[in-house]
This record gives sequence, structure tokens and C-alpha cells, in this order.
Amino acid sequence: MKRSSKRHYFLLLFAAILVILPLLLLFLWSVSAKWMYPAVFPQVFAGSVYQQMLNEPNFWPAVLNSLLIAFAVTIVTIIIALPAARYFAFQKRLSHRLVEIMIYLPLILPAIAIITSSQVLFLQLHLTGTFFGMILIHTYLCLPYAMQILLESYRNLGEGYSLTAQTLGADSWSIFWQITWPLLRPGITTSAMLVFIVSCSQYLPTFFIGGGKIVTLPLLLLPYANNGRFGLASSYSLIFLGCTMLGVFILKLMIGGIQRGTKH
Amino acid sequence: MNKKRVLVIPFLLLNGAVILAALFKGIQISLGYYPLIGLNKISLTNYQQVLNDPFFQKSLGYSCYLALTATFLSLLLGLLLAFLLLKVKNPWLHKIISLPISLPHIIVALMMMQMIGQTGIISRFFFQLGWIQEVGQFLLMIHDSGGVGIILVFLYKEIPYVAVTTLAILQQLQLGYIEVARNLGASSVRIFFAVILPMIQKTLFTLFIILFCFTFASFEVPYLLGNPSNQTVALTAYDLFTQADLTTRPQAFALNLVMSGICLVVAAVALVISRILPGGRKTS
Amino acid sequence: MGLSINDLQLFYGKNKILQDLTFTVEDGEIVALFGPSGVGKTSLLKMIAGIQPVDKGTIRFTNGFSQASTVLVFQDFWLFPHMTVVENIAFGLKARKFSKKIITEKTNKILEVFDLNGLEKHFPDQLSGGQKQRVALARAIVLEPKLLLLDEPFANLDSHLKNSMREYLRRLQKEYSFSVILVTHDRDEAFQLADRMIILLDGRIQQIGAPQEIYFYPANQKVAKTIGESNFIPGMIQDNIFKIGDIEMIVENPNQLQGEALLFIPYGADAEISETGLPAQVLSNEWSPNGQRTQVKIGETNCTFTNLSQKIIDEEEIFLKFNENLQVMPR
Repeated sequence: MKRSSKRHYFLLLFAAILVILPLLLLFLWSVSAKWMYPAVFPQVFAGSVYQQMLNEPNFWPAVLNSLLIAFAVTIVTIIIALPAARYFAFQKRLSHRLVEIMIYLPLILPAIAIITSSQVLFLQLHLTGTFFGMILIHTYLCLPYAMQILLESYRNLGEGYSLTAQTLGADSWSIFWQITWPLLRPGITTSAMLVFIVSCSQYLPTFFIGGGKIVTLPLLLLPYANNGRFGLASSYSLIFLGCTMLGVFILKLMIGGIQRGTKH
Repeated sequence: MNKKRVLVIPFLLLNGAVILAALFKGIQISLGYYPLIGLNKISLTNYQQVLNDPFFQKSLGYSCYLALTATFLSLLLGLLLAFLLLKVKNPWLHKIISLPISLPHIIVALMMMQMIGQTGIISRFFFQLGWIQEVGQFLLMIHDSGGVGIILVFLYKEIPYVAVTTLAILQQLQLGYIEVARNLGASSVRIFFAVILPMIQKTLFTLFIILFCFTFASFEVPYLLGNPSNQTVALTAYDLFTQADLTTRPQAFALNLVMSGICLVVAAVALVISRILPGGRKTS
Repeated sequence: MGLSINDLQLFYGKNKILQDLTFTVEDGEIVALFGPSGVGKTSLLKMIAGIQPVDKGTIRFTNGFSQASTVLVFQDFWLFPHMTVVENIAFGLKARKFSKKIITEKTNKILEVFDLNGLEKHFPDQLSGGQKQRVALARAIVLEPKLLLLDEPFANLDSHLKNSMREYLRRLQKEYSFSVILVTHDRDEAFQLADRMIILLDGRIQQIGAPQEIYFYPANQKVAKTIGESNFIPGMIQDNIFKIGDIEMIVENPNQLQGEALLFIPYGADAEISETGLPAQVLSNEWSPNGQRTQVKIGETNCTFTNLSQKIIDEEEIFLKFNENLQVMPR
């Protein structure tokens, strides 16, 4: 068995290298002032690309908008997903498959179709270009991710604890805060982190529903990537990754980590 | 149970509101009722145009090709990767493998350009090694008609996703079943098809639906890495919607509904197949 | 009275699982709900506890009983994994908004009673099965309920623990004077603990009575078979006389059967070996710590007896005389 596990190990290592290599490239591009074809390494290392990026007037607004919208969307999504996941986890009438479909519908229906079609209504309701509109459409797109994780979490938790708490005389709020929330925290943290990342990464909704007034990082990033300006695009990419890591880190602190007695 | 039903209302409200808003307006305008530009005759001409126009047909066909190829390869390779992850327990490797899941498609497309583009790093290596003498000789993998770059982007993102998802199921799999099968003399291949596959088949089909629909309707990746003469549906829709000329809107909405229809049909077919195959009906 | 259940029905989807449930529970008595697993007994407890809605029928609390003073303890205990033993036990008291002083008093007392001293700061995953059981019971009893609902409480314990826990429960019940509805599929447990037994079979109550009554005079064959220690001997019944071959016996005939019938004799029937009576051919003898287990043949039927007056040592034919009248049942 040892020989084959070594082979497996190297295969996995190879896969991991394939994952990391492009990221390294990204980093190199972002710190190169001059990297012409056919040089394999950047000719001039400098932070000038970052300087350029910071000078872009929309940079700080984009960062702020991305983070703010993502945080708001995360909170709204979790608030909607928690009770819904609890209902779906313990109800007995609908089949698992049906519940799956209901949850994944926003992922099945083409995003561009939904966004462009609902844009008309958004316009009529004066929701385009507003934060409220953005949060609305982002939440729609992020709910499936949260629901999937929280549904699984609730199923793993089971009803036993909350039923026991109920028979011991606790009311609904107490049951949630003292029993459900502490035991669900790892799942809630994971889904919050995922929703945050997905919201940060959205391009189409911000483009169509943002009405040109709201700028986020992906909106700035796409044109640079499209124009082949690798240096600038890479630096934006790394800033983007840094922002998501920051947001995820803050969320983890806020919601909390592993509780004793929970299964992960 | 009425108290419990309240829990799911916000969820239904939000999803319902967005989907119905899109559906309502979509159907209305695509059927020809668009007072904003003076159209108020209901007819199916827009749909006829969309479905009969060779440009649209090509667009739909190309998107289907990309989606099917990327999804099948992702499922296959993802499953293999899952088995690797099952056997090798190194946590660092696991973490690295799941990185692509949190990377946005735009960034992955950018990385692909930097890797396999004609001015990308591999091309530069080839040049240095003397295998090509000029940029144009390097194999065209992005902006190409086969969509190689596009498919690679989706593979980079989706193989880890499939691997991580099926890994969770595989870990829960009762290893007892496999032991018993082996004791009774079954070969590994047999064990895979008769024991393991039915257990993960439902997940695989769900993954298929999600990945197919997502790839089919993807915008950012074909936008960045696509070939101008081979548009995907999302790009076609995007073009139609960003034109100042509003008379193309009804067609655009018809295209939206056709797109959605295709996704729903594929989902339905996949679900039916999954139900028929062993393991498709819930036993507990 | 106390707890009064009337015409209760339980549905699962469209299937009627339980029907015509009518019974009462009095102050200070232990009632065992006995029947095979999965027949809806847990749902019944949940309905009484108020954590599952009632489809049809009524549940009434009188005489100091109330749903608020009814506590249900599940088979899996469900000790809150993120709380210590003390926090688990104090949970219900906190929910009822007792003051800190009173909570500490009551918890300390119950820790003593349940022999949990030293385990206060432990978490459930550090406890043994028996300890978990005691914490689960303590958590419920500290609330001094009027009615305690126990769902197969000792099913997950080793056999030697089962016995001590049963005696424990008896003592606690006497001291704190609460009523108990105990769901179990363990016959010995029901016989040992119950003041009255409710036999649930095929979705209905088949019989309600004291354990001895049910053992010696089951209402029908189903009940007898569920209890498991039954001999059935075919013969002819006319009014009160039962005829097997040449032998005639006086029996109880509660259903006024005539003609072909079965004579029911429980294994533990008080039987004397005498000169005259029912002829039986000894087949085998087994020894067990609880007494002798004798297999005999009466007519064509193999029977088992565990309560014979004398020890049999390899006698071929004996005659059995029964001290109490036996009962007949339909075929």
C-alpha cells in the first residue's frame, strides 16, 4: 500500500502546484513595471502599478462599496436563510429533491436573464443605483449558497435539543440564542464567509442594477483584464483577494469559531 | 404547523419577488407588449426570430457545447480528485486544492490569459526553449473557436468544487458496504458501479444541473476569453441589452426566456434520469 | 384525576397510526405504555408534552396537573453538548426565571440526590452512559414536575445498570411524588415499575390493567403473545366447562364463547403437581437463576411452565392442578 500512497501523494501535490502557479503569476504581474514578451521574469520590479491603481479616482469608492454591500448582503442573507433552512430541514411534506430545486433555482435560472429582465421593474420602482436594490439582487444570488450549508447544519443538529429545551420550559427566543445559535455557529460562520465572497465577486448585477452610480471592484477589474493590461488587472485582483480575506476574517471574529460539542 | 410556516416566508418572498419580476416583465415584453417604445401587439414573432435565426442558434449551440464539455470533464476529474483527497489526508494540500472555489471567475480568466495566452508565460517558455520563433506560432488557446481557455477556466474552478462536495459524501459513505462487497469477491470496478455510484449519483446529478446551467449562462468568462465569431448566449443577450436601440429589447427578452427554458428543461431531464437510476429514490 | 386522554388519534401523512386512545393517569402512579417499537408511542408522549400538535382528540389536565408541569425525557437524553452538567440541570430553572439563589439551592440538592457530585463542571462528552442518564433525569426532576414522561429511558444502558436505575426511579418517584408515563418495549421493565400497564398494539389500546392482571388475564391472543409467556391449548368450551380429551375443567369465560376455544395458561401460572388433574408429559427441564423451566406436552401442544410447585426430576407423566381459574380465548 505504501507505494500507491506515495503515488497518490505526488499526484495531489501536482494538482496543488497547478492551483498555485497561476496565483504566483498574478503576484509577479502586479509588482512588475515592465515585463515584455518574451521575458520569463519581469524586467523591472516596482510598486508603480499599485501606485497607478491607488491614483484611480474610483479606487477607494469601489473598495468601500464592495465591502459594505458584501457585509450588508451577508447579514440579510443569513437572517433570511436561518429560519428558512430550519423549516426545510425538519418539515416532512416536501421531498429532499424538491427542496433542493427550490433552493438552487437562482443558480439554475441564468443570472443574466433574471438580472436584465428584472432590471425593467427595478427601474420602474426607482431601485436602480440604490444600495437597497443592490442588496436585493445580491441576496437573491447568494441565498442558495447559504441555504445549502445551513440546511446541512440544521440536519446535522437535529431537533432533539430544541424539543428538549421546549419541554423544559424555554420560549422560542431562548431556545434559539442558548441552544441553536451556539451549536450552529460553525455552519453560520462558513455560510457567512461564502456569501461574503460571492457578493464581492458579483459583476453582472452591479453592472445592470447599479445604474452606473455604484462602482465595485469587479467593475473596475473587468475592463483592465479585457484590455490586456495585465499589470493593473493583477494588482486589482490581489487587492480584491486581500479585501475578501479581510472581510472573511472579520466575519469569523464576529460570529465565532468551533464550539465544544459540535460536529464539523 | 402554521407557526413554523412563517419561518420560510422571507425566503419565498425574496426569491419569488425577483423571479416573478423577471418572469412577468420578460413574458410581457417578449410577447410584444412594450409601450415604452410603442409596441403593443402580442405575438410570437420574437420567439420565432430567436429560434430560427442562425446567429442565435449558433450562439445557443456553442453555449451548450461549452457547458456540456466543461461539466462532464469537471465531474469526471473532480470525482477522481475526490478519491485522491480521500486517500491523502494532508490538510495543507486540502486547503490549497479548495482555493479556486473562492476565486471569482474574472480573476481566474485573467490568470488563464497570463498562463496560456499567446503572450502568456508558457508561450514565453516555449520561445526561450526555441520551440517557437514568434508569438503567432504559439497554439491559440484563448480567443479561439474551440473555447479551450474558457473550458480550462471552468475546470480550474469546478474540479475542486466537485471534489470537495463529493468528498463530504464519500466520507460519510458506510465503508462497511465496500468491505462486504470485497469479501463477496467483487472487483473494484464492480464495487464502484454497484455500490459507490448509486450512493453519490444524486449528488452528481445535482452538481451536473448547477454546473451546466452556470456554465451555459456564464458571461464574464466568455467575454474575456471568447472568440468574436463564437458568441455565447450571455454575450448575445448582453449585446442586445446594452444597445441604445430599444427595438431589440423584445428579442433580448425572448432570448432570456429561451435561455431559462433550456436550463429548466436540462434540469428536469437530469432529475428524471437520476430518479430512474439506482439510488435515485429516497429509501429512508 | 390528573391527566385525561380522550379519543386521541395520530396520523402520519394519510395513515392513521393510533386511534381511539382513551386513558387516564392518576396522581402518583406509574403507568407503562407497552408495545413494540415504532408504533407511535414517542409521538403520543410528544403530544402530551405539548411539543407536537394534536390531530384529533383531547388531552385534559386537571387536579394540579398541567402541560407546563409535564416534562418529557427523550431516549437519547439530548444533553446540551456545549453546557456543563450544572448548566444542563439549571436550564429549566433558568427558563422559569427562578432567582440565582434558588437555582443554586435546587441544583445542589439534586446533584446530591443523583450522586453527581464532582461532575458539575464536566461536559456531556466526558460522561458515561449511566451518568448521562442521571443528568437527563436530574434536569427534568429538578423542575419538580407533576408528570414525568419517559421515552424508553433505560434502553441504552447495560443490563446491570438497567436494574439499579429502575429502582432509583421508583425511589425518586416516591420521594418527589410525581406521576410517570413510561414508554417501553421491555416487558420486565414494565412489570417491575408499573402500577398500571397500557398495552398498545395495532394502533389501539388492547388492554389497561395492573401487570398481574394483564399477565394472568390478557384480553386477547395478541396481548398474550406480546407478553410472550403464553401457552394455548385447544379444546371445547361450554359455558364454564372446558373439555380437553377426557378432562373437564372449570374456567373463566369472559367473552361467553361456545364450541372450539383455546385455553390460555401463562408460563408462570400457579400449578401444582398432584394425583389428578390435567395430564402432561414431561419433555425437558432447564435450570435458570429464576427457577425451573419445564417443557411438557398436553395433548398435542408443547407447553412451558416456570412456576411448578415441586421440582420435577425426570418424571414421565404428571398431573397438573391450577389454583386459580384459567381463561379461554377464541381461536
